[in-house]
Amino acid sequence: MMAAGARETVISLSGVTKAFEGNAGHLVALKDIGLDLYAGEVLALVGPSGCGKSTLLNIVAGIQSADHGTVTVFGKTPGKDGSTALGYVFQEDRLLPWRTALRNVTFSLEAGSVLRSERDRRAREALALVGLAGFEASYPHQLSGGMRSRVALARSLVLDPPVLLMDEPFGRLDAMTRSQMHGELLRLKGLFGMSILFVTHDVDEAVALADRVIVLQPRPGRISTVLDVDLPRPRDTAGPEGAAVVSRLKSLIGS
Amino acid sequence: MTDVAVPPPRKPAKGVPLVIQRIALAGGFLLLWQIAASGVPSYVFPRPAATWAAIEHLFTTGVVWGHLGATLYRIVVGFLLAAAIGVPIGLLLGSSRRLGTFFSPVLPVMNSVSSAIWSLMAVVWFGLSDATPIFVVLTTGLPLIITNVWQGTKNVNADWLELASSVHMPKHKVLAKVYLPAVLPDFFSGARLAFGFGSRVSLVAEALGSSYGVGFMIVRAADLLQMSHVIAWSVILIATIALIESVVIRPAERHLFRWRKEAGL
Repeated sequence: MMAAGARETVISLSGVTKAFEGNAGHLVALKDIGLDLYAGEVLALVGPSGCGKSTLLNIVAGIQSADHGTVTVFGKTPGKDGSTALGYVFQEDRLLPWRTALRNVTFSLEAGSVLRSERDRRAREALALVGLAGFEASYPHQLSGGMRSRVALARSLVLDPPVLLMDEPFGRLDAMTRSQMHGELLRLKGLFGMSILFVTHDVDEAVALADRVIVLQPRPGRISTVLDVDLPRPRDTAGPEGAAVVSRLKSLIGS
Repeated sequence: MTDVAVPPPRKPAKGVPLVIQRIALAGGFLLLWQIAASGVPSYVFPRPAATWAAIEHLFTTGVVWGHLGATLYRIVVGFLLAAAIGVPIGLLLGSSRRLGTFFSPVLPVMNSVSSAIWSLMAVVWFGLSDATPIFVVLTTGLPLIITNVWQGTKNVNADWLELASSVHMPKHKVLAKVYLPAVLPDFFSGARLAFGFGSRVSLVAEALGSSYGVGFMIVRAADLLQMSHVIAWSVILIATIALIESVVIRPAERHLFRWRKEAGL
C-alpha cells in the first residue's frame, strides 16, 4: 500500500457542505465532506443516488460553489480567475448535435485563445487516441453510444488536463462496451498520467478502476468509509480476490 | 464503419406523380377563374388571359423591374434589420430569466399593433421615402423574430451550459457557440414568418406612403380601374417571394441543418 501522506495533493476538500432549497424544502446534499486526491491516483466515489456525488464533482469543477468549507484545486479555488480547467466527463455524452466529432472536441479549446489550426491538430490527435481516427466529420447521430462516449472522453483529454472528473461516464453503455471503455481509460491514464476522480454507483466498476474507494451515504451526503483497493492490474472483479473486495464494499454500502 | 447510420433511400411517392397533381390543381384553378370572370366586365374582374397580357406588358415594357426591385429592396432591408436587432434581443431575453420576466408583456402588445397603424406613423415620421416601408417591415418582423428566438432558447440544454462552464467558456462565447446554433431552427421559423408578413405589409406601407414600388403601382392601377394590372402585380410579387423562398431560404436551411437526422428528407 502506498504511503498517501507522502504524495502530492492535487485536490483538497475540507468541511464541504452544500444545501439546496427545493420544492421538497431544505435538502442537505453534502455534509462536512473532507477528502484529498493525490497525483496520479484513481479515486472512486461510490454511493446510491441522492448522496450528492454529482454535486461534489460540480463543486470541484467550479460549476457550483460550496456553502461552507474549503475546496482547493492545485492550491486555487475552482471557478475563480486563474483556476485550472479540469477535464469533466459527464454522465451523458453531452455532444452538441450540430457539431461534428472534431468540432465537439475542439469545443473545449474554444473557450481560450488557442489558434484554430492548433485546435484542429490537437483534436485530431485526441480523437485518434480514443480510436476514432477517420470519424472526424461524423455527426453525433451517426455514431454509436460507445463512439459518442469516446468523443466525450476526447473532448476532455484534448485539454491535457491534470485531473479528470468523471460522473458515471459509462453508466449508459452496455456491459461489454463499458468494460472496453475501462480498459481504454486505464490505457489513456498510463499515457497522460492524470489523476482521476470517478463517481459511480456501480461497485464492480469502482473496484475495477480505483486505487481508493470512498463510500458516501445519502441524505445528507457524507463519507462513511475509505477503502484502499490493493489489487494488481488488470483486475478481474469476478475472480476470488476482486469478488471479495466487491462484496466487502457492498456490505459497507448496505449498512 | 458498421456503426455509421446510412439514411434510407428516398421512396418514390405512390400513385399519381406530384408534378401531374400540381398541374391538375393549377388547371382547375384557372378554369374556375375563367368561369367566374365570364360575363363580368374586365375592370371588375379580368379573365386569366387578360391578366397574363398585363403581366406580359409589364415585362416587355420593362416597367416591372424598377418597382419590383424597389419593393424587394425594402422588404429585404427591413427583414435584415429585424433579424439583426431581433436575434441578440431574443438571445438576451432567453438567457436571462430576470430580463425575460420583465419584458414579457412587450411582445404581445407589439404583435397586436396593426401594420396599418405602423404605416400611418411611418408616413408621418419618414414621409414618402424608402424608410416608410422598411420601418413597417421591421416593426412587423421584429416581434416575430424575437419571440421565436426567445422560444428557441428554451431548447438550450442546461447540460450544454454546464459543459461550457466546465471548460471555463466566457458568457459571450457561450451565446455564440451554444445558444445561437441551438436557436437557429427556431430563428428560421421566425424568419420565414417575418419575411412572409413583411412582404405583405410592405404593400400596405407602399400604398399609403410611397411614390414608387409594387404597392404604389397596385393602388394606382386600382384608381385607374385597371383590375388586370392589380392582379398582375400581385401575381408577380407572390411568385418572386416564392422563388426567393425556394432558391435562398430553403437551401440555406438544408445546409445549416445538415446535422439533423432527417435533414433534407
